[in-house]
Formats: sequence, structure tokens, C-alpha cells
Amino acid sequence: MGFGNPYRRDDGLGIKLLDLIEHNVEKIKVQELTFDMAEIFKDYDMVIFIDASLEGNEIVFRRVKEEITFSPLTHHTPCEELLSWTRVLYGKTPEFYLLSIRGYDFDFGEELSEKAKENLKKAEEFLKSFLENHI
Amino acid sequence: MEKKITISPVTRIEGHARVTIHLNDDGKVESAFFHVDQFRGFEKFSEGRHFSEMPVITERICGICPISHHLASAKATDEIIGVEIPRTAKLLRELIHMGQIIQSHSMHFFELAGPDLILGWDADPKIRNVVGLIQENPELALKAVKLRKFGQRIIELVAGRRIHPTFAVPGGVNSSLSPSARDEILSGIDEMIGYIKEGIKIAEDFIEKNKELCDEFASFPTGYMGLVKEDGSLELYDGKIRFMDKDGNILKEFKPQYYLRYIGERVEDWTYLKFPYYKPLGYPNGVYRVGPLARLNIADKISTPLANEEFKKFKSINNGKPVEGSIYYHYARLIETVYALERAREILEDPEVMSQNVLKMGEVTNEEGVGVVEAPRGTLIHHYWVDERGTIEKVNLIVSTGHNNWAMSKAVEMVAKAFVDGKNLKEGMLNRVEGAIRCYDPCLSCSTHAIGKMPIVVELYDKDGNIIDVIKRD
Repeated sequence: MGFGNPYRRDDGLGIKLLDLIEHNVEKIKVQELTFDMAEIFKDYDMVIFIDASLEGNEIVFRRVKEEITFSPLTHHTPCEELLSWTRVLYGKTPEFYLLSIRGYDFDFGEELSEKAKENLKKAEEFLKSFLENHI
Repeated sequence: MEKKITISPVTRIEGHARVTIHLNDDGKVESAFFHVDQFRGFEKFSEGRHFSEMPVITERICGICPISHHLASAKATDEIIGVEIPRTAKLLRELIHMGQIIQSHSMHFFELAGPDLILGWDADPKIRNVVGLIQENPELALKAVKLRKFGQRIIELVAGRRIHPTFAVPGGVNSSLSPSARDEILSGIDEMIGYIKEGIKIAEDFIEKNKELCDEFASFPTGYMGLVKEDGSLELYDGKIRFMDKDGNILKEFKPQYYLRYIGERVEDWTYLKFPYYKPLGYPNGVYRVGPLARLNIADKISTPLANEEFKKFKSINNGKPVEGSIYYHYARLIETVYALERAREILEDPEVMSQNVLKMGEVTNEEGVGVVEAPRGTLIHHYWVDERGTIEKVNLIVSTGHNNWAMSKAVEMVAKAFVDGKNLKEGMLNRVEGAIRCYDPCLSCSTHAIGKMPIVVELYDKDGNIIDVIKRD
């Protein structure tokens, strides 16, 4: 599941990476994560979220652990909380992973920044390798 | 010495926002403001694009209400080519708009308002969240998911994609409705009405048990604005704009294309967001509210039976006069959801909805076009100016959160004066301030075109700008 806004330059990294993946996986593109997506996730063994990050390393891949947030943020539902929704509502705990790709320019526009393009390439290599080893 | 508490950003709303609460020497609230850093990036981004692209560009403003932008934009492009779109296209556009209302309103009620209404203002912060809500009432949460999914499914079945469709185009829509889609939606409506009635029962119970709070919580007089049908009943997709004063008198009704004659925008030095007002009354006398509460206040009736029964109860709250308490936004939102479900059924049972006549082509004939819909959070205005080839020269967007900006600041100030004691900061107090804003369900992605979501920081300043206390919530 890639999420972000492709009209906000590097925010579209998650969406763009999905277009590069040709493995036998279901690909879903959204602008934001919302609580009702738990109903989708209950039917999967593994979900990989792909998002642009404002800070941190070029690419970061981590297992998402369930977290009950102190005060849920905005209309956006964090993937940690979505895991809680999926477990509590449906009794299912699929493996959730988050692949964060560092972005630098979140201004309006469709082109990725040069650094983000480099990070996208690294993320593509990583994700393809991960999928080949796990599917 | 004046002190200032800053709540930044407000949790559970979109984008970046900041609340500052100014205290006096006694720790009492002197004043409070809701700050939004409005950034008109999408307007500039759109310049130079072809007008026909606008319905798919502007829907990216928001991940929650993309359909509202999609439709307001399509209506503006209809005007640019100067055509009256086929009735079937209008019906299908309105149908996905009902899907949008259903999914957005149900999400707000159960996810954002729910923790406040069901678990209580002063519930332990560790459980006063949506997961706490699930644990309190898992069946209700499941129904909330189904209700939102149903709204999304309407959009998906009719428009091909549940978010960011390419369905509405200048002159109509690009595909007709299939019989299987019609039948699937129709088969689910009664069940969904049952779910939303449970939500209404929750809201009514809350109001009954907390009548004084509801009547006083962020309650203040303003004008109201929204669309109505020709007969004065609730309208969400088309119709005319009605302005009503604080006493319930109709000030003006006009075609949406003339909005610039009646809506002015005031600039304040403490925020980038503009404050719209009704021009003939000036500022601040002409400030007004939009959204569910405003729409029910300005409407004479609702055209569908079940929603109209609830509407009568709503109208009785203040004996037919405008209902002023901000918390009634939650109640109004649920009544509108019933209307959206009933209206969806009406549309699907209309013989013309299955027609293949869904598009009327046209060339650029007008230099500008205005499109207005009632988005879930209020009146949404798209206004485009184009050259003779249809290239966008200028764009003006007025989003619902912008219309309500003055009201949200006023709500924050009233609640802060009533509940915030600067000498004794408690979670429940701050949540009431946030709760006042959440009544309006502001979508700051729309108003600021922000992408952010982040932790909350509460800062306490003295009058010289020195931080004397900070509270953070990650």
C-alpha cells in the first residue's frame, strides 16, 4: 500500500514505488490511511506500507508494532493504530511493515527531487529483493 | 503579566493548526485564537493547466473529501464550456456525492466525535481514543467501518474508483451506471440507515444528559450560509445559496455564480487564513458559519421522510430559531447522513438514472466558471478563469474550513474561558478546547493544502514571549 500525494513532489514516493513493482502482489494506492482499511487488511497475511518521510535515513524498513495512540491524529490513521483496529475488530494480526523513503521537497509539483529519485531507486532494489525472498 | 498556552497542532484534524490561549496574571483566559497557516499552493499549481484537467488535479487537495473537489471542479468546467449537462449525469454526480457525505460524516462521528461523546470529556486519556472506543463497543465500531465502506463502495461502483476517480468531466460524466451497481447499492441502504440511527440515538442520549452543556458549549450567534433547493429544503449538490441571519431571517438567496458579490474575505495579522463574511453586513457583523449545523439552520425542511422527521426534532431544539451550540454539529451530521442514504435510494429508483445519455460535449465559450457544492464540512467554491484555449489563468478556492475559521476561533475562546485554568492544566480542559474545533471537523488539508500530521505541543508563555511550561503529546 503506497500512500501520499503525487502532486506534492516527494510525498508521492510511495505511489511511484508501487508503479515499479511487478511481483504478484496486490497494490493499493491511497492518499491517506483511514480506519476502515482494517476491513481490507483482515484478509491478508502481510501488508507493506510505503510512505515518504520528512526525516531520517534514505530508506528505513521496520516491522510495525501495534500501538494505541494517546490521542489519534487527524483523519489520518497511523499504521500502528490500524493494526490495533484489525486485531480488535476482526481478531486478525497480519504482519505489517513500513518502508519509509526519505523525501526532501514537498512543494507543489509532480517531479521528484534528485535526492528522492536516488532514494526511490534504493527502495525499489530493497523491496524487490524483499519480495523475492518472502513470496 | 500575560501568559500564553499554545496547543499545536490540534489533534485529530488535518494538517497544521495551532491554538493559542492567552492568560492574564490570575491564570484566567484573556483571549484565544485558532491559527491556520493558509497556503494557496494548489491555486498557483493549477495555473497553466488545461481546464479539463482540473477535476482530477483538485481532488488531490484532500484524501478525505476528494469527491467534493472533483464535483465542484467539474461544475466549474461545465460553465466554461457553457453546457447544461444531461440529467442522468447530474444524478450520477449527486449519487457519488451522497457516497462522499456518508463516508466522511460516519468517519467523523465514530472516529473523531465518538471518543468525546461516548467515552466522555474527562475519560482517562489512555482510553479516550478510537481503540478505547472499539473496546467499549466493538459492534458499534464494526458498524462504523461498514458505514464508511458503504459510502466508499457507492463511489467505487459508480465512478470506478473509491478515491480520486476520473468520473466527472466537463459536460457530464464518462460512464453510465450498471444494473448490478444499482442493485448492490440499493440492497444495502436499509441496513446502513439502521446503523446511522444508532448513531443518532447516541447523540440524542448525549444531548439529553448534557443539555446545558450542549446549549452553552461554544454557543454564539452568527449568520449561516449554504445551498438550498428552490423550495428551501436541504440541498448538497446543486441549488441556490441562502444567507440567514442570527435570528433566522433570510438575508439573501442567489445563484452560486454571484458569490463574489456577497462574500468578502477579511485578513487578520495573526493568521494567514482569511475570514469570509457576508459583505452587506460588513465585518464582523457579517461573519457566518457553514456545514451541517448551518445547513439545517437555513433549511426549511428535508425532502426525504426519515431525515425530515429527525430534522423536526433538530428544529425544536431552539423553537425553530437557529441552533447555536457548536456541539450540535455532531447531531446535524448524523441527520444529513440519513438524508444522504435516502437520497441515494431516490436517485437509484429514478428511471433516468440508467440512461446512457451522460455527456454533452462543448468548446470553451466562457472566460470563467464557478462550481459550488456542499462538501461534508460546508460550502465549497471553485472558481476558474481561462484564456480562449482553456488554459487556466487564475483559480480561487474557498473551502468550508475557511468559511468556519472565525467561528472556530470564537468557539475556542468561549470554551477556553469556561474550562481552561492556566494554573491547573488538565487533559480534560485541553480536550474541550480541541473538542470545540472538532465540532467543525476542520479539514486543514483543504484549507492549507498541508500534508502534515504530527504530535501535539502545549506551550505556556509569559507576556514577554518566554516559555514557562511545555506539554507534549506524541
